[in-house]
Amino acid sequence: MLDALINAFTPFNLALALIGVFLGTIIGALPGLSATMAVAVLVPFTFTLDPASGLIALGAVYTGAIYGGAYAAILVNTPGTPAAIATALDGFPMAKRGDGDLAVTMSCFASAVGGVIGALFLLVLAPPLATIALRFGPVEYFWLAIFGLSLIAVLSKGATLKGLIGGFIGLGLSTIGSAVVGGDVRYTFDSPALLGGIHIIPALIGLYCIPVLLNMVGTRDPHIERASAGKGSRIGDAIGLMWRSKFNLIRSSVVGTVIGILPAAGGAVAGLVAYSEARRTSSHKEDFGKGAPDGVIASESANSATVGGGFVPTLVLGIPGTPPDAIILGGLMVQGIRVGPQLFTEQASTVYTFIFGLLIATVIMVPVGLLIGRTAFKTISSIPKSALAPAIGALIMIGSYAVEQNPNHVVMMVILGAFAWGAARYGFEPSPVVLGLILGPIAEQGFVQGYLIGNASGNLFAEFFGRPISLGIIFVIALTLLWPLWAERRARSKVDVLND
Amino acid sequence: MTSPNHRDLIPSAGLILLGGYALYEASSMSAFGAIFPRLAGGGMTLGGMALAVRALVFNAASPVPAETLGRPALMLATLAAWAVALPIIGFIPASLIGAAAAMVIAMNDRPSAKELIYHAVGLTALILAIAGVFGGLLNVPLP
Repeated sequence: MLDALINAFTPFNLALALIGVFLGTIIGALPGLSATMAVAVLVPFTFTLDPASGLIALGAVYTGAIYGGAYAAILVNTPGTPAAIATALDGFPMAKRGDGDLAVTMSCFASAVGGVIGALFLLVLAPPLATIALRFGPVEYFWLAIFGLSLIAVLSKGATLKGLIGGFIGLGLSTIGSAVVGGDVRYTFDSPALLGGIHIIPALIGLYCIPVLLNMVGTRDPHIERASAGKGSRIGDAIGLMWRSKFNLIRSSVVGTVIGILPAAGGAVAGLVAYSEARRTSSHKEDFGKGAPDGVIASESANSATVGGGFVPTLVLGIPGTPPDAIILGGLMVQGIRVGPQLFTEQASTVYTFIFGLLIATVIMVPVGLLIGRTAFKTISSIPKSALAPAIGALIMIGSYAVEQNPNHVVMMVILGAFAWGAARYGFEPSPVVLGLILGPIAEQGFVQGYLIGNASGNLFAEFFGRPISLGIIFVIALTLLWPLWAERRARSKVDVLND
Repeated sequence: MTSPNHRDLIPSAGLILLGGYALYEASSMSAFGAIFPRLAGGGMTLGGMALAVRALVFNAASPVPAETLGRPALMLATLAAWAVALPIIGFIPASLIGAAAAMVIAMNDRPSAKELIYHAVGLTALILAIAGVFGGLLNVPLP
């Protein structure tokens, strides 16, 4: 292992990690360019490198891209990647009130801590964790999606009925196109453009960014408060806040790692679950959604931890935890590396060099992220609206188009944006819609497959309610939904006792 | 009982119509394919009804936004035209025209000639840079 550590510290590998993090951060910051695209674009460059160096470069790009999504989420309320959805919930309100520099710095540190914890899990616990991931069947995924949907109660910001309706609208949108099981063609109006359904990236850009753009031109107020002179990157403030939120930071990183291990769950689910847990356990629940630093810390540490977590099933089982992992797996195959449990013994040097390289890349992300973040905040907060609005317009057009080079996605993005803007005028938030849209297919596939398995085995009830992991998730769902009611009741009874 | 002109009655009517349509379409789907469309349609219909009842009985109105509608509506029309023009006239021409229109809409005060030139040059450079990065570096085939 010491050889691997020394190998990871060679100037060449350090340079690869630096360049990878830098490129990944820039690509992740552009709305529409996801971590998957960042890795896919750069994977051919690694074919000529030795396997460990190639893996370090790809891991660094992936780490940087997941973190880069936070910039657009915080500064223009558009998650650069789906993993940054929960970051926008409190990051943008922070930027609006003049704490954008603090939010960007905090997201950088939180991402680094999450990334390091994810990589440490990968280093120490990869084989046993991968076997647990194998026990996740369709029913567990169904319950995991239901858990995600229960977060609507958290994201509704006091308007639970409208939040629930938003969730149903999102579920409805997720059913457009070919059914995940059975192949029914649904709500396409005979248009081939809708056969593939609504792609999540144009939907995210439309639902989050267009209302911001339209409101930006609707008022004379500045888009976000300008950077205060002399405050720098507010590193001290950020470290202080993170130290006060250390349990949230560690819990969110562990949540992100565990969710990263589950194939197909990904950074978006991890960020939202960690956000929900941070809010549930916070003594200042009412601040969430209005610029609570804890929300940014939870989301960013969790989504960055999915990088290390996602490599667990990828390397141990050959099952990619996230789409970028799938591309990296393809890259490994091109390099002639056979993944599987034997990888940690037969190719120990390569694997451990990569894991140490991932740790180094995560640490390098701090100076790179602080530098890019400070520049991005200063630039965006000082650009006049008459220049910022058309620039955002051009970026959202290319961002929606570039995902699949499909002009229909751009039109869909504008339609969803118009819907979100109109809905916001009646008090409907976009986050429940996004949650329904992301989790709908996971829930539907899990439910139908679980139903078929349960029916075939003759015990449908046991299939859904008799498996230990399912029961654990159901318990957490019940806790998420009932805890706020219980806490409120307890607080009320305390007040009554004091009054008496 | 509150006024029938309550703001939430508009979305509630839309939701009932949308949910009704989703349920109607789901009736022609296979048993498994219809489960989630029925769930979503039913949820929208019931949610719309609950919103209407709440609006008429409890008067929990959402606040009227303070912003004016003129500029946002113009910007939305610009974005729609930009999206439609993209595959027809190409990314660079559509973006130059779209960005120029968006710039004019976003201006609150009359700009000086110098400011106008700076903005125009900056935006042209940005659009060319985007085209270069996406089309050249990332190999995205631009329209």
